Amino acid sequence: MLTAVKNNFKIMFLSIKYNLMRCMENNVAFMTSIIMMIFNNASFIIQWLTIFALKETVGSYTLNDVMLFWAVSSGSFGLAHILFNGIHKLPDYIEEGKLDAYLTMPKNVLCYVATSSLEPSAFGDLIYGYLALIIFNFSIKNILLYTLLIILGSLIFTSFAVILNSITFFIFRFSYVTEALKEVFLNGCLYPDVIFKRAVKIIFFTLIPSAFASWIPVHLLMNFSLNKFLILIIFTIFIIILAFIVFYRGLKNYSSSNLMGIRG
Amino acid sequence: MKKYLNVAKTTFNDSIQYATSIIFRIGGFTITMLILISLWNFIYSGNDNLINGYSLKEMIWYLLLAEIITFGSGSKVATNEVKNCIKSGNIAYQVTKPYSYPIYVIFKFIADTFIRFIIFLLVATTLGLIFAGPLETFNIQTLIISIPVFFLAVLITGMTRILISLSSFWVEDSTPFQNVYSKIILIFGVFFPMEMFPSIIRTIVRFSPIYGVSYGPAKLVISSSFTLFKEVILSQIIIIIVISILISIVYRKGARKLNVNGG
Repeated sequence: MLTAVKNNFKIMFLSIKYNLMRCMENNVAFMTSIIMMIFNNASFIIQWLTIFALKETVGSYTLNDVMLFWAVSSGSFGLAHILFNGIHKLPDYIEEGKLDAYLTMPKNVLCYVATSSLEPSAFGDLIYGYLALIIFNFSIKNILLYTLLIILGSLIFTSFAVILNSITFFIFRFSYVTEALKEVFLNGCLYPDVIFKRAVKIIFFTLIPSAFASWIPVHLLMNFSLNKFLILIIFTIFIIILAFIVFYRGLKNYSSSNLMGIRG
Repeated sequence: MKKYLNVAKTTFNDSIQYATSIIFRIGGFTITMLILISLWNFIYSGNDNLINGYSLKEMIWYLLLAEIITFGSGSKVATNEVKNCIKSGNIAYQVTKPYSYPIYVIFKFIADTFIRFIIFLLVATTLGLIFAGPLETFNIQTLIISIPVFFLAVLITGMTRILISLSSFWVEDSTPFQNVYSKIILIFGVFFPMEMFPSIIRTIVRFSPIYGVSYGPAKLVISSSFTLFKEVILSQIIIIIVISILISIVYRKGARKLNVNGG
């Protein structure tokens, strides 16, 4: 059991390494996409500067606090797309019957699919996350805690994406809804909790768990609480297990299109 | 002209087939709008009745109207299709055909946008009526003068997108540039009317395509001003002329750079 887990981690690591090497083949395109993504994210500072010019605080949050929402969200989102970008291609694989190539390998299918691709611009998200943290809330403690929190955040986001994408096993063309819900998840992460009414907050704590990927980590960075941290870890484990269950339940519904293909 | 109209007709018929996919995206649009409306409700939650001359109702309508243009003109024809055509080398077939490729894409874009735009318009109007209530200043004259302004705003968006996609002749992927354009429009045109910015940014917005693409059309509906209509239409025409010239230059330079390997 332990050897199997170890082997899977080794394969995932190698897969990510080769994805990275592939991306870096064209250095100019790779660097351009990273720089553009940093610029993209940074442009939203103007949005918040303008809002804070209109209103001194947003709830009890200052500009520095709001930038924590951005740091945590872009860091988690970036890490998820660096490590597990393949999961976002799952609906295409299911709808076009391209999953066969992954099923024939003596590896964990979900882990193999998840690490099959890497989004170069996600490095821009990850770098921006650290930059936002360093510029607006620098401390060594914050950097260490932030690193741990974005790992949890990326696992929550990826698990949520696995659950949504696995619905394509049951409902054809569900990918349109999936994309919309992922966008809502991200928007929920980027905006401070205080702007939402109670009903919306309940949705972000349950059906679309943005609160666990962003709001709780931000609260932990602002004021660490062991209870909240444990809740976050328990939720992360819970959603990962749920993602595996939904994926493998859905996989039983998969039908191949007998498409011949080669995967490197 | 007839050939371009035929292209538009065929694309329009195709877009009807895929209208259901747009309906699915409405969910995402609606929730994104609800989040932004929550943000504005929160900002106005103090004692401020007006912020820089805008009431909460006007602000919500501004946001929705500007977003209609952004979401409504999100057709992939001007972005991915042009980019992929250049990257895959299929552009080599297009340059030999008896039509201008940029004009062909523009007509395709307009036809593909039509249904999408109408759907987003209906959804945004419904959201506006529910969360902000009807605009008192809106009347039949506003409706009539808004139609050409919104059409030209969509046209400018499509043309700008095509211009950015043509950069694929030189760069590996034009998507990062498209994203930057989207963010600039979003921050300086959609989220806030230009009155919310310091005077220097206001001046830049006033003389940039943002004025014709977002601020002008949205503000026109809110203010129902015929003077503003003349200003917006004039700036849109100038922007279209400038972008047309740029497209023509960039396309010609790009096509000249094209190397075709037979096979």
